[in-house]
Amino acid sequence: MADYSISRFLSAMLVIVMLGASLPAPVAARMIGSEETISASQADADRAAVEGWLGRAEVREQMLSMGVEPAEVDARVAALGDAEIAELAGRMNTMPVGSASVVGVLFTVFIILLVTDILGLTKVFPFTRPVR
Amino acid sequence: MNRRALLAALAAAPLAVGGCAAPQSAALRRGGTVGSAGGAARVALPRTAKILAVPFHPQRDWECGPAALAMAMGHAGTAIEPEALVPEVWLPARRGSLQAEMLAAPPRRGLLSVRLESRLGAPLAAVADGLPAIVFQNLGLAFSPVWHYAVLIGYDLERERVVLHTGVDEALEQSINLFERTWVRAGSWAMTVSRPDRLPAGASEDAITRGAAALERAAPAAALRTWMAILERWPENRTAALGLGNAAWSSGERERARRAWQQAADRHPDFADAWNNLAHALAEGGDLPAARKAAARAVELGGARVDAYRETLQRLSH
Repeated sequence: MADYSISRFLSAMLVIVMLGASLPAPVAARMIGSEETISASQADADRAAVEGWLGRAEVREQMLSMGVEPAEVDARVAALGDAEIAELAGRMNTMPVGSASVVGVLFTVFIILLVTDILGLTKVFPFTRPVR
Repeated sequence: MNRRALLAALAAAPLAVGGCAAPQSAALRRGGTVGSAGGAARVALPRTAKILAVPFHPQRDWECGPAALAMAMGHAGTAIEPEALVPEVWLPARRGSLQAEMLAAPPRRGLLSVRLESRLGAPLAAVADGLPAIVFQNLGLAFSPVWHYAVLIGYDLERERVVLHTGVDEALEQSINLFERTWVRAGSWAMTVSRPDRLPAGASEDAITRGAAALERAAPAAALRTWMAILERWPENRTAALGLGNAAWSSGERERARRAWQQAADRHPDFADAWNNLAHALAEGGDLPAARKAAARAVELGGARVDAYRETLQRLSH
């Protein structure tokens, strides 16, 4: 239990340190990034930036808990834009992932071709007789 | 045969029985354009097209995402095995790949990825233009989805067929009506992968611009070529005019960046972001008076990011 609270404390500290380190100063003499000019309005861009920034830590945690190699996590999070991060944060468990198994794809395609054969749309299997 | 596959097959049956024409396919066959977004003049699709040189990688279980990416990236000139992409786009606990990560992976290897428009004509147009399209399909039904990535490499409107690298099948022909239904059921999502200077057909200016910005994040030197290609096609694109400078700056080409921002500011005198970035480049080059003038111009123009311009000006004034 003690270990648990220590790690809780440490991770909270880590979050605070990271917050401090990566938060841009409110007004900094800075370049304007290409992405900032894309969003329809500055409000959208600001929201995406804030959500993206808040979401990065969350998406990172989610990826780790979903079994992504720790060495890869940072590069994967860094490759995502603010808008994508905002979209993924909190929804990684429910968003569709392309994940059909080989058997699933094969069998689905088999059934599709079988039915289209019977309908006379295709002619793949020698044993089918089209209905029209 | 697992339960999921059985469900998928059962779910696919009624979809196939409705084997009559799907709406977008039918309209394309008649030669019309469908769901036209943006209203830009669109050239009619060729009746048939097929890309022969798309390498095929059979997928392993649940790894259709890495396989589809490896095929598209291979066609773009970066030969890669699906296994090498598994650590980059695969979520072990979900046993699959997210669309956002499919788009984010090619830029990490210096390639441009672009989300195509959500109409059937878009992936077909990309193929007709010579780029295979990664397509997202739901082979099952809404209540029992079988999400799947495949690579569209050809189509024939006369014979009502599409050609896909899918699963373990190379160049599999499928009914275009079935394809449309499974594709629309998965949200009409498709993307291309290409060399940085190769812009896909079937994508909006906005989507291509976003693709370039994503590439700039991962590989600024490669993005330089994308911004140039965008400016060639859409000379008025402000993000590209600014991005050309940003990408040059990030890849260490300071003088080239200065010239790009100068050009952006000359072409669009009311483009405050360009003046702001130009001020930084001028200051770096030692021309403080000109830098202050550029920053003052940005502040004068104002806009949503005026605080950043003010700070630029203040720093130059000390």
